[in-house]
Amino acid sequence: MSKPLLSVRGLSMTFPIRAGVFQRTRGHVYAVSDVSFDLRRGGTLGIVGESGSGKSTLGKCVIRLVEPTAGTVVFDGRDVTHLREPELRRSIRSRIQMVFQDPFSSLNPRQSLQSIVEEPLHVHHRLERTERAAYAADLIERVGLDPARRDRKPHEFSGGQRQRIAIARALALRPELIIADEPVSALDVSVQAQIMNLLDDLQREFGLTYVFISHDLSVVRHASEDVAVMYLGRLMELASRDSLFADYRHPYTQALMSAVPSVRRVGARRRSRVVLSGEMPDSSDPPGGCVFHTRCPYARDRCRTEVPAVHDIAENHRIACHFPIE
Amino acid sequence: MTVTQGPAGGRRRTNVNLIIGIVIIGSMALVTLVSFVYTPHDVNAMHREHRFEGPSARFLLGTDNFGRDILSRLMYGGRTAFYVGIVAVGIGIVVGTMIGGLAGYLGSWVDELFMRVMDGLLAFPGLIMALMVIAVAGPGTLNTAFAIGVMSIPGISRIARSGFLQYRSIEFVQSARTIGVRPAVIMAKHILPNVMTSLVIAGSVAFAGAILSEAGLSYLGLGVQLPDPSWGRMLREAQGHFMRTPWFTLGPGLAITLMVLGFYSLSNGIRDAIDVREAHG
Repeated sequence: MSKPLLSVRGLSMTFPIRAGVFQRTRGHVYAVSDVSFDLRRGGTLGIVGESGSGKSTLGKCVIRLVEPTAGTVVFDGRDVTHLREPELRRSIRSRIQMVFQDPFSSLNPRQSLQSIVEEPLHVHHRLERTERAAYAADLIERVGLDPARRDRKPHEFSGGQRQRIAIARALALRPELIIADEPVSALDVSVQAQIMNLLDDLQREFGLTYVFISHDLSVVRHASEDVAVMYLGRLMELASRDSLFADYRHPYTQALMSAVPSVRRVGARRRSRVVLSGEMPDSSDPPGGCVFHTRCPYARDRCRTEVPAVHDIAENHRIACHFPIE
Repeated sequence: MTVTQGPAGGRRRTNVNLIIGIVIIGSMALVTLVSFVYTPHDVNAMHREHRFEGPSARFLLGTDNFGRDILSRLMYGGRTAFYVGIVAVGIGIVVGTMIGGLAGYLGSWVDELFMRVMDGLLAFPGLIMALMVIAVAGPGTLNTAFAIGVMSIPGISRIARSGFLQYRSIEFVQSARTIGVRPAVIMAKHILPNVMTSLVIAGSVAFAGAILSEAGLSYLGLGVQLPDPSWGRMLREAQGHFMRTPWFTLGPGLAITLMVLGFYSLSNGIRDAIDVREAHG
């Protein structure tokens, strides 16, 4: 494998919980713990997990909306983990962009379509004013919107159209990496497919690299080359798409697979339906040992005391489990 | 679609508050503007033979203890009221928004520092604060306006803070950050316009408060000084003659009441108008 575009090592994000008059730290939320992965240029990494599994926080750490508390994020050979905001603006912001989940809050209601799409160019002093307008019109058309509506405000567009606007904005600077945080979760199923196809086409056309965050396995399966499964801030299983879906080894992945409502069976190896009991534990008080042991149907004593390290189990297939499914 | 849009699109309820507010403030402003070119009598001319007269064709609202025309003085006093209101609200909105905006957007120690200072300001009774400023800077129209403006900063800064705090974590602001927009531009371009409506409402309420405060200070003789006419001081001059000439107090009293009522009505009207737009926009 050639040098990865994005390389994440031991990434952790811990938020302090402050309370009381003096805002003393009363505890911590362990949003992301010790996550590592590589992503090749042009590839797509899907990250799946329940809400609260830390997948969004992971995305925000990569794009440096939040500064991780430990670990490193290396983008194109450069450690960007602790870059200060001015330096980030100068050299990184234009190369990594994000598409957010909710297209109703990710667009400023007071900006017109054109001004939304042009803003990134304006900020980075790309193109002259007149060229900008033409470029924006091209881009608007490319994502499947009518440039004649460029003066309209976001509320005049549907959810799917708004997500197209957000994609056009993310694309304006010709970034290399796009973090798509649940880009289709807020949309109707019919519209989801359109947006997925658009993202697909754009990836081919512009050679984009995606980190694709979703709670929906079928969406991730459609989009991704590699899939990472997260639970309570930790990486459970990371494998190429085909080997993950055909040959998952982690009990949590198994549970996720069996929960997919589908006519066609998603997991080829499904033996029986595994229904997890209980809720995901509070991330401010994660269980000791393997974080999944409280809900794992196969948990044994070792799982309760010893944190399983992420280790290779086959080529391109890593897992954090003491007793992988055979 | 038709069910939800029918009532909103078909017969939207008339915004009575907004209409009342605009009519009252509009006519007060108009009368004040007219005073620049025309008043029925000279503001300070004393008609000695017509002291304490009731309303008549010549003196529509009667005359005061020096025989001056009350209507003319009321019109002229409107200038003071608007001047003090505009300066005070201007100071309050500009400084309050900057302090509250920075506190809300930056958070952490900036928030803590600014808001504790604001709490400190708020702990003083407003009038005492104003008296302090006037004691230091001396009385006068501009100083009065300044003192009242300072008084209005804490309230407005709290409103600005909550607005900026609310929008700080919204996704389009985060998106602006990932694009590389500078914090100052994010605050001015992406957050401020969305917070503006609540600031306008706060400003309108503060305007009513400023007019009341000015009247109060001037009534105590600490606000606007001679020769500038002020409704508050007119009330003070009138109180000694209340039993003899009630209409003397009626004019300035009504003017202050109308003005305050107008601005409150206006602020309610603006809020209603925005609520409707946001509910059906």
